[in-house]
Amino acid sequence: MSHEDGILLWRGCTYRNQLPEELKSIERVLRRVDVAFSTLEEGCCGYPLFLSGYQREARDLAVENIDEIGSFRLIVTACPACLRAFKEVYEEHFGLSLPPVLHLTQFLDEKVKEGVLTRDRLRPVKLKVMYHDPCELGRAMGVYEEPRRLLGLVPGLRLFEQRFTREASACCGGGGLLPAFFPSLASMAAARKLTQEDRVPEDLDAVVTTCPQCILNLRKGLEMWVEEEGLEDLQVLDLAQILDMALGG
Amino acid sequence: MGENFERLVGDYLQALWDAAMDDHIRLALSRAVESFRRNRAAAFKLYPWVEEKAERLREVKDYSLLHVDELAREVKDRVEDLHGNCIIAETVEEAMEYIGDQVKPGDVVVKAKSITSEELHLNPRLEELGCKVYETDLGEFIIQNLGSRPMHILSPAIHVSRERVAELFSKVMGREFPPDIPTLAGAAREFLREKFLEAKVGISGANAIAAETGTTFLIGNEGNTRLVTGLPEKHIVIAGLEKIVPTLQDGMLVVEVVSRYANYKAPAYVSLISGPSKTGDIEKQIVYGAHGPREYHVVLLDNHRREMIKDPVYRQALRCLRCGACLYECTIYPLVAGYYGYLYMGGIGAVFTKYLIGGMENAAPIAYTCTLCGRCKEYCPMKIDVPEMILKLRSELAERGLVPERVRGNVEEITGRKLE
Ligand code: SF4
Repeated sequence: MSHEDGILLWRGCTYRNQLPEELKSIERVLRRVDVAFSTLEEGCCGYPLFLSGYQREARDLAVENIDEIGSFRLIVTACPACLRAFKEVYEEHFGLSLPPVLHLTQFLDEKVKEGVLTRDRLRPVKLKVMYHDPCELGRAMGVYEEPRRLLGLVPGLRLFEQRFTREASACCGGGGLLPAFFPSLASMAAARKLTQEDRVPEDLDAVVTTCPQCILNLRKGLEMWVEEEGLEDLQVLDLAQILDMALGG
Repeated sequence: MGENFERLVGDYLQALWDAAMDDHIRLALSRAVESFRRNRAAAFKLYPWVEEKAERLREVKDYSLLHVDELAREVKDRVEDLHGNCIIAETVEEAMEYIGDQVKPGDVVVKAKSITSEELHLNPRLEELGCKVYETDLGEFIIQNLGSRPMHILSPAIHVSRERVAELFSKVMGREFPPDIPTLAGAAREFLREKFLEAKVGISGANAIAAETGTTFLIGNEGNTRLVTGLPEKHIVIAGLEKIVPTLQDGMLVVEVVSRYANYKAPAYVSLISGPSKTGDIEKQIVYGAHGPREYHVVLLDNHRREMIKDPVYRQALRCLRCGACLYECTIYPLVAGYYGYLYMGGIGAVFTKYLIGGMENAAPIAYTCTLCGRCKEYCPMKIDVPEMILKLRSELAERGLVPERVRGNVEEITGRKLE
């Protein structure tokens, strides 16, 4: 099969295996903005191999993956780790060549610029949210503005600005495979981030982010370690879920 | 090896967990983090050009590392010219042998500001030689008497509450103390005062060494650096090769940058020491040993630093000024203090552990604790890219089969591949 004009939504194994609801929102949002895309029965992008030090194995997997994805016109992924794997590890580190790859927020931001995704298509979402910069997307890939512009488009949404954002933002603790090495410490870091670093207010409805690792770890942190009053109902949502709500669910 | 390694990892994780569960540590650290940030903001406001200076210093440090051999020789020449002694010690043993030759059984040794000396396991070795060793920085003094290990590079006793200090001092000094910080500081002052006077040897580190004059720069706040380097007959400086910079001006740049990033507007004391004390007041005849030390020894320690310099990724670690900024902004350190580390702490500590003390096996669990978030780099005056170094270290660890089982197992599960 030739994919020469096609867009691939690389879903990534974390979304596929652990966040099916969030993944549905991602796919629905793309359909709502009239994007025809393909998906694959993809496995791992190889990033965990690279992170844990198994570079040779990561490269082997990259070569296998390129067989499957190399002929698409564009690859879109909502997982910053996959994004970084493709752009930094495959291309820069291993010198392999790939079609252009965009993070979902970068791709949707283009749709805004093209006039496809417009404010008048969005219904109000009456929530107070805080955007958390995933380290892999922000500091690592320099994507700070696109997610904020997308959230800024949603009527009714109020944005809480935490103490540390963008380059200075506090990591959720879910990176670097710490959740594998020491899961309780990773989730404890998430709790500290929200309460001590970000100092989330009681009336915050949701922490919004756009990384499956962050979502999982922040949720675990809230569940396991946060006892502060007023934060019992705090949710952690994927940015795509907010857009999904705004686009009519 | 596998089993022992896993046991080492297990012990490390247990220590991390105990620290994470310790309310004292958490409270002490969260206070420390916030007050550090407040003080740093105040210092940066007063001296807004510090970031620019840090950038300049980065260049100086890179230059110095790449010219370390000639600069070290220059230090040696200058120090000897000024009637001091200098040795470029390739190994810990060489350094220790030299220092051992400078002390006698029964000597009282006072120390200030030298984390590098820990690479030599200096205190126990001096004790084996029959010396009595006193750490004189208040924090180090507390740690030494607790028999614990330093928990921060600048504030080693960051995790110890005033109540525990009071208890400890009562035991050490044989009388009761209230948990009142000024009283406790006064008690340490009184106790150590006589040790300074008794001491035959003073040992210090260096914040910088200027090659053009062989001058040691030493920053201090408590005043103990003055006494350690001024009262005993002998002063021994122990410094890693990376502390050398070309000129006196460069040394001042280090002082300025490290103080501001370590959250001081200005440190109380900066000592510049070039050689033993001397006088020429009688007939213009210079004699050595006036009011200050008669002997001045500089031990420049390699201990794998030159090997680090040869590696373009790891080299950057040697720009480190030990300002501690990265630790306060770390994702993990504020939860567990220096247990996230070996002697040197935090993500960068993993690299120092590999090269300077502890080796690959001890570096491994530290390397896999780092979340690779990269926030430290944003706050580091030397813009040291810790994630880049950790990734390299992890690939070396994987080559040697030193990936902790929990990590390897997880990655096998995700990728469906058998590893190793
Ligand atoms: S790595 Fe950077 S921030 Fe950390 S102690 Fe060294 S110079 Fe300071």
